[in-house]
Amino acid sequence: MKKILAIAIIILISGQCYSQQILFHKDVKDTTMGKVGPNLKNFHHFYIGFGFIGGDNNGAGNDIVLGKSTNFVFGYRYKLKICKHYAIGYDLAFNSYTFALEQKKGKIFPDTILHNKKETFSYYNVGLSPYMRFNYGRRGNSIGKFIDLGAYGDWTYTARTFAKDKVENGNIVKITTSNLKYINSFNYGALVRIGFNRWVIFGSYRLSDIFKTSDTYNFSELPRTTLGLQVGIHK
Amino acid sequence: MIRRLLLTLLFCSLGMLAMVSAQNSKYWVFLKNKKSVTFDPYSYFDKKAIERRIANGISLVDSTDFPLNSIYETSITSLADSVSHSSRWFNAMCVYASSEKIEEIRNLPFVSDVELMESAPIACSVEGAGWDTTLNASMTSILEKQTKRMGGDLFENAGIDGKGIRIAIFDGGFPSVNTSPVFEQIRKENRIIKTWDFAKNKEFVYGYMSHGTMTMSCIAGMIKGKKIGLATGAEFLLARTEVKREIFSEEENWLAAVEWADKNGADIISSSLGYTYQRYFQNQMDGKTTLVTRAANFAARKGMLVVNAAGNDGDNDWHIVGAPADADSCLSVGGIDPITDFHITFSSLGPTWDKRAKPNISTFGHVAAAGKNGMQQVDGTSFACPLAAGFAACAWQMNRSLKNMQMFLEIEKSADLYPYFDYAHGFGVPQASYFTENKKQISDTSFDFVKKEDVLKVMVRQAYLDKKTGGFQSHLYYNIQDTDGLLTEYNVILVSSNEVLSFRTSNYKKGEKLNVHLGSYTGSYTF
Repeated sequence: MKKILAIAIIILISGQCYSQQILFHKDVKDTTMGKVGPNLKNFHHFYIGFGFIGGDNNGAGNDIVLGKSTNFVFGYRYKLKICKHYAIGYDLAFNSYTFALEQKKGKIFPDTILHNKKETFSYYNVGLSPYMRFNYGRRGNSIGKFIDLGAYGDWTYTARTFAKDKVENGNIVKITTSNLKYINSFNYGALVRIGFNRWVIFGSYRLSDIFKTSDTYNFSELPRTTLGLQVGIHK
Repeated sequence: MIRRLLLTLLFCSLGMLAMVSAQNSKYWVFLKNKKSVTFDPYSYFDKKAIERRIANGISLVDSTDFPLNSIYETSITSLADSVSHSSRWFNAMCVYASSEKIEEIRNLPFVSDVELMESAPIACSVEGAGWDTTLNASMTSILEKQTKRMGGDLFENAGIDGKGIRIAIFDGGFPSVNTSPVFEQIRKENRIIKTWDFAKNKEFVYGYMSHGTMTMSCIAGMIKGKKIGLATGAEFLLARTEVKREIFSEEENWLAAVEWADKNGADIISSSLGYTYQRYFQNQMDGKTTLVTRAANFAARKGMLVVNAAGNDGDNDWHIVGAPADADSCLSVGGIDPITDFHITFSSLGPTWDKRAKPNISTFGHVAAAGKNGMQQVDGTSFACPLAAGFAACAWQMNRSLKNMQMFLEIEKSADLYPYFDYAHGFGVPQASYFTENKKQISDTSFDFVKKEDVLKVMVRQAYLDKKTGGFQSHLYYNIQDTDGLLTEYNVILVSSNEVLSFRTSNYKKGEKLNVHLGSYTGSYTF
């Protein structure tokens, strides 16, 4: 519809009148190099990613199940090209971390109760991540091969624990606990990415602590490392 | 602790991976000269290549055909990790080397330049791929139209099938060309002269991507007595130059293949590949920057007719023809839709970045082609290109005295819109009648320009409307050309009454031109 309107306007402006049906119309655009493109001055796109949380289970009562502890991210990425091999940029992203908690003797996080189906701890963030990008290899107007080094800062807008049990009569009991008082609202860390065009392997390391330390709560930190894959939503 | 170590290692390996891949890269190393080399054209060239050179008035002893200096080659080989290919035309070697070694190579006194290489993808789509031996009604209809639209029946009636013309096809593989009934006659008559896989450096090419099988069928395939392409009697050189599906092409392979084709006597190169945004910027589509474009022009200088797909970027940000279709001497082929008979949306458009007119001609961008396991309907200028290459072989068979670039111009002149041109259709679809009847059909004037005061009208003659039997004869093409000869807009409209167009002349600058084509008549009006 927009196209038809545009054609109609062009025709009116150019002073041409048609009594016939237009099958095909092209205006020849000025060929100037744009400023927005994968390897032009500015580029931005959305992306989606999924990763696994890993690291040392230190046996301090909050061991996680590796492979089931995951990270999801959906974000917007902006890149400003400084020169052929160097760019800077930032991500604005929504992300979530879900830790599958091992149910075994000695567990203390979030409590000592063992659940027979599963128990998870999740927190959800919005965050900003500035980064530097080092491109290598020859490329045209495409993102090409790159390594990103950066940092992230996340604001945790909600966190919760979830427990699921099968009780004696066969019923399933699910318990969600939110408004957790022992969670820090902000966390930050370092990130590294290696990518080729839309495909990106990412890793992040949380430098801040998730848990507040107080007389009431004194949980050991959960694993800090995440590794995963992101896919840029662009050509 | 172990897990922490493992994760640290993983992080490190990511970094290392990046560093390693950055270190051992592929480079073109260009040499300064060919001092002290000897060359015997009679032992190097195929007999057919010598004949083509003589026919085109090209010297048999041209320094660009001389081999590389062996001392230089040895020096570079000793420094490089490995040597992939070398190019006589560009006096260059393609090598793998670390960044330190390439600096050493760059500093050799006989090296003129070093250029980093990468592989580059081009989008060409294959729709509805599947096993299908039968020809359904839709397939049969397309199949008949794709050659008939070029007047292929006239060539057939005249017994013209590209006999004696040698066509080199560059593609990603030719599975089942050695077994399929579609190519049976070609095999029986031993008309596949040579094959070479430039990706693996071996003779076998009958595997990998079926894209090459499909393009070859659009040049010379026969199914159930029906021609898929027009040059069913031609000879073939099959070169595998591309290494992945969705056509990851290697420019280096293309260069090696074009020299190989030259050496082995190719008359025509049919290449359904293009390099666009993955490797280049639009402003490099200027007909002289990319190596593959320069190689295509080189091939033309050697007497070969290079036919290349315009590209499939007409409906995305790239928009314009890719390399090497941007080469002056390359017959760039755009696609039309068999249903509407005008531009098919994905076919890349002209002009080139430096405003040269492209594509040159058009054929169907949606065709029936023979795949690995049967007939398929496929989309892409990849298939328009071989249809045109088959046409060119037939036209050249009828006019063997013509040189390659004369043939190029004759094919343009044969096209149904000629002398009308636009950046979507070029000169239109080439027509066999131009060659079989030895002239372009002159039709009656189909319209007039009528100017009254400030208004210019294009009036279709009643006789044309009365005679018109419908179909595509009622498509009117028009463009506006500025004083520099560049088109500022172009259109196709459907004619249904006498008064087709009107223009307020005061809206146009003095010297701007209106070009109109209807039926087979083209007229122009200068404002």
